[in-house]
Amino acid sequence: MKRLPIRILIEKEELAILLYMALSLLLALAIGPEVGTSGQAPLVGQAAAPWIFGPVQFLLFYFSPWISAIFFPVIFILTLAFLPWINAFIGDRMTRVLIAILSGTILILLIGFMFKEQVTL
Amino acid sequence: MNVPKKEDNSLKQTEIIQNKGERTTFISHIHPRFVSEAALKFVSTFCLGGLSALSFLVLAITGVLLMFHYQPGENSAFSSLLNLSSVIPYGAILRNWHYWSGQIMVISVSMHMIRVVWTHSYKPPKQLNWLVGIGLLLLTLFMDFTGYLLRGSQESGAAANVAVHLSQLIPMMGQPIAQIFFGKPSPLSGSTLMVYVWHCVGLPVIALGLQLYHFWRVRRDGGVRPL
Repeated sequence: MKRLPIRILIEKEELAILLYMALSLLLALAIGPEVGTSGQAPLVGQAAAPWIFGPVQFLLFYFSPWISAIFFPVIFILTLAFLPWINAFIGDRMTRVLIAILSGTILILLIGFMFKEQVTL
Repeated sequence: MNVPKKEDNSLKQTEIIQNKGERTTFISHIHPRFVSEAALKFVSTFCLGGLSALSFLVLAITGVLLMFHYQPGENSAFSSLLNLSSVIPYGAILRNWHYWSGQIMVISVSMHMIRVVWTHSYKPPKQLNWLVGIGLLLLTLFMDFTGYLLRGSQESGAAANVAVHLSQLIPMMGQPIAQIFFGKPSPLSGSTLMVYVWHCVGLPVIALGLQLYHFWRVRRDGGVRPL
């Protein structure tokens, strides 16, 4: 395999840093997250979870807390953690299928959560 | 004729020793003198690992600057956040930048994991680094969640109390886990000293250590695998 001097990588990294800084600063200037409701204000009726925990909150609507917040997440994490060893048994193709199913499930739950709840930044 | 051969041999040996010395140092693993052409292609990695590390760096810098004005606690967190967002010069931009870097990090770490799965880069001898990566994914999610709790709003109080009650469901050690990670949050504010210390010190320090090991291990295990 052809090898190139590190200088080329550094140049690409510098360009990526500039692009990242510009994009994230533009986002910061344009859109800000909400501060939420003060503790001294009238009580809010319902509060949505941060979007990354949306799938867990969506499951909590339909299943018991033990299944939604402990069992499913632990199964998900253990499947990911043992993936190199699972792959040895089921092969490359089935591993990709497994990950596609897991990622798809998370995505569907996230979309379901976003439709059900009024998601804020 | 023999003399130059000896010199050549000694030169080669010196080079090998130097290279060996270089390969064993941490810095030379992070930034070696040469990298494979395939690893330099954008589609090999989509720069997702680097993007995550860069987000972490921006989060650390903006986070330290936010710490000068933020005060954790049931009564002080929300007002200090309002102060930051509307009174402190550039405070709102700083907070927004911290927030967006966090969101970018969550997305880039997740996408990075999918890319690693797709290129089978978790296979031996990279299993240990895969486990470290899973640890980093969980730390990133937890840092994001604790950041949300530190808003000190009613919504964060609700989230903290849900998290405490769910943690308590863990058999045997639920109560201590909830106490260690969340303290005793009020229903009206998720900002506690425990959450603050985990968010600003505990989790980032662990994440930094794991990241350095992760980068070192990537190069040690032969670099990135192209698609």
